[in-house]
Amino acid sequence: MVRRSLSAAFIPMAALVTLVVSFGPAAAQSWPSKPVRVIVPFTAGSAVDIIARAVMEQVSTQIGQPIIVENRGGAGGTLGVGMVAKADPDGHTVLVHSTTHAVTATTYANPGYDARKDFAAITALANVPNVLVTAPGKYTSVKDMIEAGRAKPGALNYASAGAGSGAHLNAERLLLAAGIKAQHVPFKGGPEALTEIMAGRVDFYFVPLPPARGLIAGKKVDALAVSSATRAQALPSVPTTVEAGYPDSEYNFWMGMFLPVKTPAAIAARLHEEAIKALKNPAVIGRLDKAGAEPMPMTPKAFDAFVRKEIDVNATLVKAAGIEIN
Amino acid sequence: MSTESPPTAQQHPLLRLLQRKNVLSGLMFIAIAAVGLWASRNYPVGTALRMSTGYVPRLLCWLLMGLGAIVLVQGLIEPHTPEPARERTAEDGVIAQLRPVVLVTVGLITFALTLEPLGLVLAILALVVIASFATRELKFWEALAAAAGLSVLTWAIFILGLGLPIQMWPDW
Amino acid sequence: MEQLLANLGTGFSVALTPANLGFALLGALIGTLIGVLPGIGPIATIAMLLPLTFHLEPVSGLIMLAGIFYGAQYGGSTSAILVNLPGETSSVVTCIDGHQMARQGRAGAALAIAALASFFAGTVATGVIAMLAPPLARIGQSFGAPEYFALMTLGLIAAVVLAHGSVVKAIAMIVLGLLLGLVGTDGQTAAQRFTFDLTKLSDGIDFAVLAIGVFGVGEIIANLTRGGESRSLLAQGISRLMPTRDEIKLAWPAAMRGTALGGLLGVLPGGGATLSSFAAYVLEKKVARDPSRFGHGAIEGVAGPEAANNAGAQTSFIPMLTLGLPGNAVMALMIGAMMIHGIQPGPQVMTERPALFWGMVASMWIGNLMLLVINLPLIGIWVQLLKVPYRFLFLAVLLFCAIGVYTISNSAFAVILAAVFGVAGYIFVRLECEPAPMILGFVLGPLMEDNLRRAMRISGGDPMIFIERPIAFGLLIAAAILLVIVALPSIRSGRERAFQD
Repeated sequence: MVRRSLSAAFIPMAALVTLVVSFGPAAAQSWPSKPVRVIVPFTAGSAVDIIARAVMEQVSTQIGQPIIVENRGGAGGTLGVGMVAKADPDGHTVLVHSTTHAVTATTYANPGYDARKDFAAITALANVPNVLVTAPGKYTSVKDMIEAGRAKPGALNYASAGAGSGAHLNAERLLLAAGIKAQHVPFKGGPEALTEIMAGRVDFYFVPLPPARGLIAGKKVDALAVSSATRAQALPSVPTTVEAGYPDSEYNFWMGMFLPVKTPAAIAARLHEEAIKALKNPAVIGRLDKAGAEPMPMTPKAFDAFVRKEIDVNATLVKAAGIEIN
Repeated sequence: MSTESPPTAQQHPLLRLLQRKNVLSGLMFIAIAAVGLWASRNYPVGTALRMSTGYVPRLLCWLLMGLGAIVLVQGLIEPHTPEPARERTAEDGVIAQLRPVVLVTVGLITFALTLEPLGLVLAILALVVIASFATRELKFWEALAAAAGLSVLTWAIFILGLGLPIQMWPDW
Repeated sequence: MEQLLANLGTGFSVALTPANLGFALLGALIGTLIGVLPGIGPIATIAMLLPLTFHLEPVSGLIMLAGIFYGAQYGGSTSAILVNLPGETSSVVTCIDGHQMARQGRAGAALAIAALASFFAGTVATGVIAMLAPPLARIGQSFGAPEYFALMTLGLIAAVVLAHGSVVKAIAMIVLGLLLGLVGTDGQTAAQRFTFDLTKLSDGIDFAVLAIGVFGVGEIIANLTRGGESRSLLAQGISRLMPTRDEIKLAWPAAMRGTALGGLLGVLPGGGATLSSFAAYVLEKKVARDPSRFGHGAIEGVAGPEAANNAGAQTSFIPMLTLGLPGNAVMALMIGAMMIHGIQPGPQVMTERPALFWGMVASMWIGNLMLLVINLPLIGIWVQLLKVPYRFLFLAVLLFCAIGVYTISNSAFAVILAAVFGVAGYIFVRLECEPAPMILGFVLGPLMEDNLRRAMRISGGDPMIFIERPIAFGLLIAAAILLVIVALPSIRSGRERAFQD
């Protein structure tokens, strides 16, 4: 009885085996020999996820292998990063991460990996400028706002998308450069923070450009400055914070690609090449532009140096902002 | 279902009290609150105007403890327990009651632990076989057939249909 | 008015092209499927399908994504009614009376009423969006941190009404839910709370893990412990597929009330929509002549919340359409899709892209109509599912729970957590501690704490902010009044019970 039913049960299973094996690895010598997993340590639909998917779709056509974007959010992204650190270094597990990688290197005392040592930097993919927005007509310039804050200590406040978020550290960097303090009001996400800015209930907010673009165009908020090193293509008349008179106040939200550090150099070089090629593809450039991001191709060496500097800068800001280290 | 519970007169009075739902609920709330207070013992509290990490959690734990105490007292002063333990039939002892609790839990945990290393099919097999022992009505071959059928169904829905990145088989 | 008709004409001419009808249907079908399945929700599905929309016309892509969103709302109530498995916040309430109806053999009626009430609410809400979007958006904007805190307080007090047993226990369960909601990283200081050194808890407990565990798994365990005889989910046979005239008479006004309430709450981007179905249930129980029927298969307990939920889902598009501010993660994804196509979401979409704006509004209604057409014939099939012997059905439900929970964040830990909550859910059933108020506490707790602390930071530590702001003050007064209304009869009946026992 048992045996008969066992075999009956195994017929569909056997059918399954053949189906699955046909998708399975075909034991090829060169990379990529099977579908590539891209780990995005944020939830599906977040800015990093959208950019990763936009670029990886093109890389996938170039290499002729499917690329599966997997969202492994959790613990500020450190869970997903830890997974890549421990993955087989065969080039089939790729990490796409962001500025947050440089922040959590400080804010998590023991994330289970070393952000400086465990990853081979491949290239930056894109950066999204942060814009300093305020209620319409509230301030005429960054200087006006900072001086108002200096005149009445404790009165100025700013919004962010949470403690330790890019918006939080960006604001701290400007405040540090200006030498004043302001009250931090964290929100769960950008939309709520923007609502409060529009109503003038919170003074300023460094918002990533995409969600604010329409509101700036519709005159629902004023854009006083961008925090990137150069002016944003979408807002050519808005000065950078450095131009506005605050040296050492630039802050970028970047996204980039990493492999486990032990991945063979040839594979890393190939992935770099394919990523750069994708970033030069007009369709990808168009998509990034529309999402408010600017392509940011870099050599592995330059990107590596960039990431190391970012980790140092963010460590200072985390201390200045009084963010708890876990 | 309607079978009356065996007379409990010979049981220790303390044990009888413990069978009351409100007594148990009260104890449960108090225990959870105590664990919460212990876990939050080092959280900075701040003041009502500038609340820190621990203000709300500790406030809620004390509140829960108070509510638990009220429920407990309510349970203790109920004159007699009008609780004929209606969910307990004569042949179903405590062990039989615990059986589904343990097996469903173990089945789910086994599924969780086997899914990534062994793939979906073997994880389903483990879950179904373990959970099938939770009821005495399911024959072993029925469980195996169910595992096979469900494997095909989940493959069709989640992998073929929704394209989720779940492995079907272990990495060989 | 003429302007409105002209606009709607533009909208329908866009939405009624064969291709766009096809995308609306496709979206509705996918949405229904993922809505019925526990765990995997519209957010993950839309994120996966997003690259597909790169190659579509912007309107078509958005129509399909919106279809998935509504489809999931319709589908979510199906599993809640049939097997007590809520996939999202709103269907927790549908479980209370909807699953009781299914147990009494009235699953068909419950499903039909849920679909009809949703469709009615969707129709009204689409009209509201077409006519009143800009003024409603301004109402939404007038809500800041103090107002949200006051609204959540009101909601929390109302949560007591969800329970039909002991009030003290209901309050204790709310507090327990509030505590569970605190687990994870404190958004204000980034400190860890109640994570017991488990990194996997640092993002908090996912709503679906808690709900699937406590309701879905807990219900399975409770069913398995209940006696030894072979049983299906049905206490009696299935009586009818369609609701009776009496049921419709009861459900109709409930759906109207739910639509109004849900439509209003949906406009608030900071969590108003999550309140809508709870609020509608509370309202129905309070206006009912015999509130004791609630919790035992009252049809108004299905019609009101389902209508409110769908109306809220619909009007939650208003902040997005008029200002480009997404009220939830699904909206955020749709904005992502718009941007990929070079449409800058914001106040100017309505004037600069009338075809897109009105096309979407028109397709909302078409999507709802399609869902009704898909769902009514499906009822027969769903009800047949209940005839599967329970010894097989429970295996399937358990497995879908496990996979669903896993897919939320690709996390095996979440499955273990759901198992633990399953045991807790069973204990709650045995101890007669109702879990619905706990779920509401869990959802509202973090929102309340965040908004309270935020309000205090904005005001510089001055609690007068709650009195100086008229809306916040009004809501807090309403909360105080509700507290008295809720507490009075229960204190009285509590005393009566104490004497009876």
